[in-house]
Amino acid sequence: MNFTFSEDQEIFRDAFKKYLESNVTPEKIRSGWEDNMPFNQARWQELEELGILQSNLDEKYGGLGLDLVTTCLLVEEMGYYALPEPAAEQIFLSNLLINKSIDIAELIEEKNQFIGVTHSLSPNILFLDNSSKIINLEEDSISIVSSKDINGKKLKSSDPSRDLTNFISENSDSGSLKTLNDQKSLVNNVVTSGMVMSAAILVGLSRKILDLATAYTLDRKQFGKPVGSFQAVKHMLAQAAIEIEFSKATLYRAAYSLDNDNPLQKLHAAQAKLQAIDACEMASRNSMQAHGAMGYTWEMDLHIFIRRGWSYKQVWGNKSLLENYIMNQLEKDLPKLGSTYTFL
Amino acid sequence: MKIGFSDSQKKFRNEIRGWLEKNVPKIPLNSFDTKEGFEEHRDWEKKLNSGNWSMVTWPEQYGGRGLNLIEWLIFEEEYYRAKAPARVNQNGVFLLGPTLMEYGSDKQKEKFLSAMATGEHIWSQGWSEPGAGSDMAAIRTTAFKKGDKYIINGQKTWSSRATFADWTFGLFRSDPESERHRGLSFILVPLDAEGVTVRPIPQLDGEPGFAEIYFDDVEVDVSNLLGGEGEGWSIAMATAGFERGLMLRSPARFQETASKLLSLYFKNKDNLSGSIESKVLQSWLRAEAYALNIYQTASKLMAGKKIGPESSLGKVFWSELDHQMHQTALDILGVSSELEEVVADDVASWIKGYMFSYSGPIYAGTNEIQKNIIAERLLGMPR
Repeated sequence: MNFTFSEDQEIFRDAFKKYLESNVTPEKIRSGWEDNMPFNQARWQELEELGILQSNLDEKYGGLGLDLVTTCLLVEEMGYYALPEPAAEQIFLSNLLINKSIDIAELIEEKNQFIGVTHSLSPNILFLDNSSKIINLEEDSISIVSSKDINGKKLKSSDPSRDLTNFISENSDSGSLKTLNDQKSLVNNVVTSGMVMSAAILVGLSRKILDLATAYTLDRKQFGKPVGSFQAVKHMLAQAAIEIEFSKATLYRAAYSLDNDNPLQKLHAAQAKLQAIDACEMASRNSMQAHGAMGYTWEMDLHIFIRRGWSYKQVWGNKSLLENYIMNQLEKDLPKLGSTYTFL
Repeated sequence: MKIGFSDSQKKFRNEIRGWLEKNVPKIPLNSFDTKEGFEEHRDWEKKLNSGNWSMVTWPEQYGGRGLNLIEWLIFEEEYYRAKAPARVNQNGVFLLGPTLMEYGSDKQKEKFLSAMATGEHIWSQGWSEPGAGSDMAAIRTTAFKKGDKYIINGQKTWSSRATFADWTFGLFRSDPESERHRGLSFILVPLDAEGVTVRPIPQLDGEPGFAEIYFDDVEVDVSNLLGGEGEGWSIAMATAGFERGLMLRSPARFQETASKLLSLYFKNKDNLSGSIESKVLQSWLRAEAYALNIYQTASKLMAGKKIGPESSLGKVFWSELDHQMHQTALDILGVSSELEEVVADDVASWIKGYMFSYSGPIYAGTNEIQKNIIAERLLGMPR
C-alpha cells in the first residue's frame, strides 16, 4: 500500500502547471471567446509538443504510454486553469479507444488531431471544426464518422469555451467510415473513463474557484478590514476546502482502478464524480457569495471557472445517473463493500 | 502509487481476525460509563493484552507490536467488523502512552506503560476547566512546587472517563506569574489522592461519561511531572497531534455505521422517501471518501511527510458525517427510534450513537475552531 504520487508524477504535473500558468490565462481565454474561437490551434500544437496530448497513448503509436493516475493529475490542472482545448477528452476518451481497439487505431491516421467522442452521456460534438473524426458510442457498438459528414447545427453553451454541435444520429450510418459491433465492454470502459476525466476537471476547477475567493477576501476591505477576517466568510470557505480535500483521494483511487482494470472501476469512478460534483457545487456557491456582487459580474474572472463546472457536472454521468448506479451496486453487493473491502 | 494490501498485510488481517473471532464476548458488555461496565471493559483490556493486542501501535521495546499506520487501519477494520468492545483506556493507550514514550523518564515509562497496557491504570483526560474550553490557554488550576511535591488547587471539567478512572493527566499552571500558554506543566495525578473530589456529570445518555475534578491542596510527587516544568503546552500539543488523533478516529468506525445504515435502509426501503435514500447513499460515499483520504494520509506520513493543520479538515468531515448517519437512521426507524430498548433493528444502539454524535462536532476542538484553523492556516485568511 503506497497511496502517494511518485516524484516523476509530481515533476511532470508541476512542469505542466508552469506552462498553463503563463499560457492559459483568463485574458487569453476571454480573447478566444471574443473571437468566437475558444480552440486555439497554436496552443493545441504546444500541448502536442509538450507530450500532453499523447501522454497516455501507447508507445507503438508514438505516445508516452503514461498511466492514467499521472494523466489524471494533468487533467486536474487543466481544470484548474480552465483550459478550453479538449486535451482531457483526447487523453481519457479518444486515446483510450485507440489504445484498446486496433480497429479504431487503424482508422485514425493523425493521432495528434482532436478526435471527438460522443455518447448519450455527452451527446453534443465538442469542437467539430477542429476535429478530423468523431467516434460515436452506442450501447454496444462504435461508429467512426468523418467530421466532414456531419450536418449538425451549432449549439450555444452557457460556457463560451465549449463549441458544441448537435449530432444528427439518423445520418450517422450513411456517413460512418466503419461500425464495430459487440463493443459493449469497451463502451463501458470509455464511460468510466469519462467519469474520472470529468471528476478530475471538477476537482481542479474547485481548487481554483476557492483560491480566487481567498485571494479576493484578503484584498477586499469593509468596516476597515479585509472581509476574509470575518468568521462567517472564513467558515464558508473552510467548508469548501473540506469538500475539496475529501474529493481528492476518491478521484486518485478511481484513476488507479481504471488504469489497473479493477472489477469495481465503474463504482469507483462514480464515487469520484459524485464527490467532485459536491466539491464543485460547494466551492462555486460559497466563493460566489464571498465575492459579493463582484462575483456576479462578467468582468470578474470567477465565472470562467464556475460555468465550466456547470457543464462538466452534467456530462459523462450526472448526479442522478451516478446515484442510481451506485445504489443498485450497493443493493446487489453490500456485504462485499464494507470497511474490510475498501481495497481488494 | 500502489493501492492494495501486501501478502504480509493480508496475513496480519487474518491473524487479528482469528483472534477476535475466538475472544470477542458473544454478549455485548455493559456501557463503560457504568460501574460494572467499566470493570468489564477493564477485563477486556487485560484480555486484549494477554494476546498482545492492547497496544499494537506501541514499539516492540515497550511491549507493543510496532504496527505502522496502514497495519493499524487494518487492525481497526477488523476490530469494528468483530464488534469488539470500545476501548475504555483509549486516553492512556493512544494519547498518554505515546507522549510518555517521547517525553517521559525511564522511571515514568517503567511505572506507567505496562500498567496502562494491562488495564491496571485506566486514564482520564484533564484539559478543560470551567473558564478554559476552546480557549485552553486560559487554564487557572495551579500546581505550585513545594519541596518535592506539587500542591494542586482548582477545578477541571469535561474530564472523559474520570468518574471511574484511576488516574488523570492534564495541564496545570505551575508558574504563578505566568499567563496564557506559558508556565503550564503536564502532570499525572492519581484520582485516589487526598483532596481530590470527582463529581460525575451525566451526559446526554444519562451516564456519567465525564466528570468534574476538584483539587483541594492535592499533593503530588514531583516525579509525576512529565517533561520539564513549564513545558506543558508544547507537550499537550504533541498529544493532540494528528497521528494520535487518527488512532481515535480511524475510518472503520464510520464505514461500519454506513454499512449498517444501508442494511437498515434496504430492509425498510419500500416505505421510505427519496430524500432518505439520498442521505443514505451520501453517508456511504462520505464514509468511503474519509477512508480513502486517511489511507492516502497514512501513506504520506509513512513516506516521511508531515501533517499539520490539514487534520482539521478531517475533524469537521467525520463529525458531521457521523451525525448525519445517525440522524438518517432515526428517520428510517420513525416512531420506534425513541425506544432505548433491545428490540428489532438494533434501535437502542442507533439512539445511543445519535446522542453521542452530537458530541463529535464539539470535543477535541469544536468544528468552529477547526474552521478558523483551516481558514487561517491552510487558506491564509487573516486573523
